[in-house]
Amino acid sequence: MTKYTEIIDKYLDGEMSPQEALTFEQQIKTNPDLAYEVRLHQLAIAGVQHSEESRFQEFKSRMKAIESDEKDETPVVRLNPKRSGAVRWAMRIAAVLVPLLFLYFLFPFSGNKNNPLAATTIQLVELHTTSSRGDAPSPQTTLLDEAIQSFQQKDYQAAIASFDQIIKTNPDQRATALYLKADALYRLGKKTEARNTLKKVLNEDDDALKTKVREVLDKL
Amino acid sequence: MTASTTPKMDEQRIIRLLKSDKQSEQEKGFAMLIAQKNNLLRNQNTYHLNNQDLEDIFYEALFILQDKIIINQFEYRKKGSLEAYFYTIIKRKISNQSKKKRLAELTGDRAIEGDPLMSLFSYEALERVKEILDKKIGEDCRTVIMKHYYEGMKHKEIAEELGLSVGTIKNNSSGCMKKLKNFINQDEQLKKIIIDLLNNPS
Repeated sequence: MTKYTEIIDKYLDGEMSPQEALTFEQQIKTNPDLAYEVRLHQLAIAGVQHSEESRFQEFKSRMKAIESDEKDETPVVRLNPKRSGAVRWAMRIAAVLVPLLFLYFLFPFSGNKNNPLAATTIQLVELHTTSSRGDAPSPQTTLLDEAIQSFQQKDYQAAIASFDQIIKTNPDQRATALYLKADALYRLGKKTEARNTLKKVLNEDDDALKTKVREVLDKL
Repeated sequence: MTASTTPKMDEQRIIRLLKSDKQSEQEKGFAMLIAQKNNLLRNQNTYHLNNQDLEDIFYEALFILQDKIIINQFEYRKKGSLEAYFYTIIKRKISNQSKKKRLAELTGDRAIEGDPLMSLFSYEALERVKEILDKKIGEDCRTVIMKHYYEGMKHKEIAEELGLSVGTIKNNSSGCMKKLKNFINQDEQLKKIIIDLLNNPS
């Protein structure tokens, strides 16, 4: 009953000529023994496949789960997305320029590189802005705000007038007003007056500011 | 397509991962191979298999590859050898699937999808054949039958893998198949199923 095994294999392996294959296919219809053996062969190979089937199906489910996990993984968002070289350089330049422009508009008087008073002026203005933030407006803070505003708008004459008023009326802000007035005078080219005004700070109680003034006086 | 056109895999790492005792490590190795699926299957569909069949073949090839790596039947020799080996297994499986289709068509049966032969027989019948394979024909015969009729390996390839002559394998292959068929034929229930099929073709 198994005499056709090699012939069936030969047919399936494509080792028959087209004519032989055709004859073989015809014989199945006319030869009951061959027809039986073809069915037997089918069952044998189906059984071979089936013998691994349950193990394979289990394996396949596992692989599908792995594949699905890989697909479901949230794509990583690049914190530093790839950009062209030109864009990267433009962004680097902007990163430097933007803060500088911000400082320039916030403290326009800081632009004078040769002004030895400028650095401390920035600190004083910043200190005043920070300390008065959230406070209820008072005549003194309002006057110093106005003076600083005039200073930032480069209206140094108006700023000096406001500083003078503070110097006369508000001992707590006198040291700051004197220093800023000296800077305004310096920016107007009145270096001697600026120097004399600055020296008056040394008579005030603000030791930190006095130290700065001593440093600046050496440079004026 | 040739294996060399696909992106290179870190083959030694995959082998190390698949051999690992840790499931998480094995899964990493499988994921790396699954990532190659489209590359390995591209232009392989010369037998006009549908996508589902093609995907099943990929997983069956992976299933075979894993066994071979674990039992050291695959020996890594040089870069690209794992990829080429996997590619060969896929090709064999596709060719085997085509043979099964031809065998089904000899009796006028045509499976739309899935295994072309398994769908012809009941689960009980297939279980009885499995029992013969597992318990009656012997380990050596089972090995040769599985390699030739399940993996689709040629006699020469089996001979190389097992270190035997081609002639021995050729004789064993047909001899073992005859042995299996004889056992099936001796099972009255299975014999009746075949006769019923002959009398009442689907």
